[in-house]
Amino acid sequence: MGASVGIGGLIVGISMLVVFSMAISALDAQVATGLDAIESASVPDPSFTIDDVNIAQHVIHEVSMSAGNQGTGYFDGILRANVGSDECGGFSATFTTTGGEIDVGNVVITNHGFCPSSSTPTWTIYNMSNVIQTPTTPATFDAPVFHQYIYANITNQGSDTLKSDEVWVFYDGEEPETLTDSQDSSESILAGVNTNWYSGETLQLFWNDELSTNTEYERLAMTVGPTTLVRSTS
Amino acid sequence: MADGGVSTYIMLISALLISSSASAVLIQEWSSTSQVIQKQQRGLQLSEQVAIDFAGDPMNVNIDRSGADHEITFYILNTGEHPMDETKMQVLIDGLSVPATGVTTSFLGTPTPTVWNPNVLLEVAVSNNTFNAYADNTDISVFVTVTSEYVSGLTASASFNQEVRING
Repeated sequence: MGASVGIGGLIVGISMLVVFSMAISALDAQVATGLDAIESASVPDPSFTIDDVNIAQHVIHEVSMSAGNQGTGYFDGILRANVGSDECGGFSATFTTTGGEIDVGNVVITNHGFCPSSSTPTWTIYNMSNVIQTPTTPATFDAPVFHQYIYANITNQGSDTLKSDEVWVFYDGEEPETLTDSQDSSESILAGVNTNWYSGETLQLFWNDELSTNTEYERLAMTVGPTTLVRSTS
Repeated sequence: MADGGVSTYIMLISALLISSSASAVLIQEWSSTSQVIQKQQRGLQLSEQVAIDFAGDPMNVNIDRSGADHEITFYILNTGEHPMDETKMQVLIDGLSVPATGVTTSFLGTPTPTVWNPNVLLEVAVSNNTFNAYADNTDISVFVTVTSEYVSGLTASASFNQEVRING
């Protein structure tokens, strides 16, 4: 009799333990779910500003010269460009000479400027004292390569660090690409893929856009997560 | 005396068996109930963790007028924490449900993604002959709802509604 009561007590006790353990596991799951929900709800939306966007169209991206067109009677000097009375935004390039001939491939652009159109500009060659040179045989430059340059400053106003791969850039609402892919790595502050954009940091951006359609963009849009911001260009 | 002892013993064993059975049934029911509650909570949690949003310039949404049915192209970003299933998407333009045959999608990025993971941008092109009546600078309403991929056996849907201006 006593043994059966003991067994009964054991069964009841084990049943209660099982029920309690299940109740505790259910409570644990609820607490974990609640904590996850609170954690995900506490992540703030990205916040940033596009401080300014400037576009320079018809920028002289590259100047070249074919062999045999280097001219004669030149000294080391400066190359400038004009389209009519327009001085192509102060375009300037330096070059060296050898035996009076301009060195092919050694024309270094110091100011890319920007021309009023994609017409081939008139080249004027100065010496280092800004006096127009009078060569024996004039040099002939190839038609320049025009690009569109876009400059922008953007600031991370939020509390979280953003990644450049998370920022999508749109030009007039089209041609989306990440900030990483869009940047000219040689001239941009962005060092590479997934560059950190820290809270409060202002990034100076540069886009070198090859003018295939000759379209001058009017609006630059950026999307990071649920946050989208658009800025008109100037 | 001995008969009384046996019958008491039988009664006790019977009571223990019945109470054990009842406990087993109760435990089973409790287990089922807690599983259902947990599943519902996981579903609620999942629905909080899936999200999509319109991406790009809402004032510059392209409309291509070259085809017989004009085509509107816009972009959607997966802003949630789980992959979405772009094949389970419904697009409404000004309340008109665009048939699946009129919706084409493609992922953007380098390298081109194959799954609509978080932060992956999806290009959506919708075409319908009702769009032929839209002039440039018309404001239209875009509503999109998408179902997520299965996450622990569950799915959830996310949607957005955005007023945009179309330009050819």
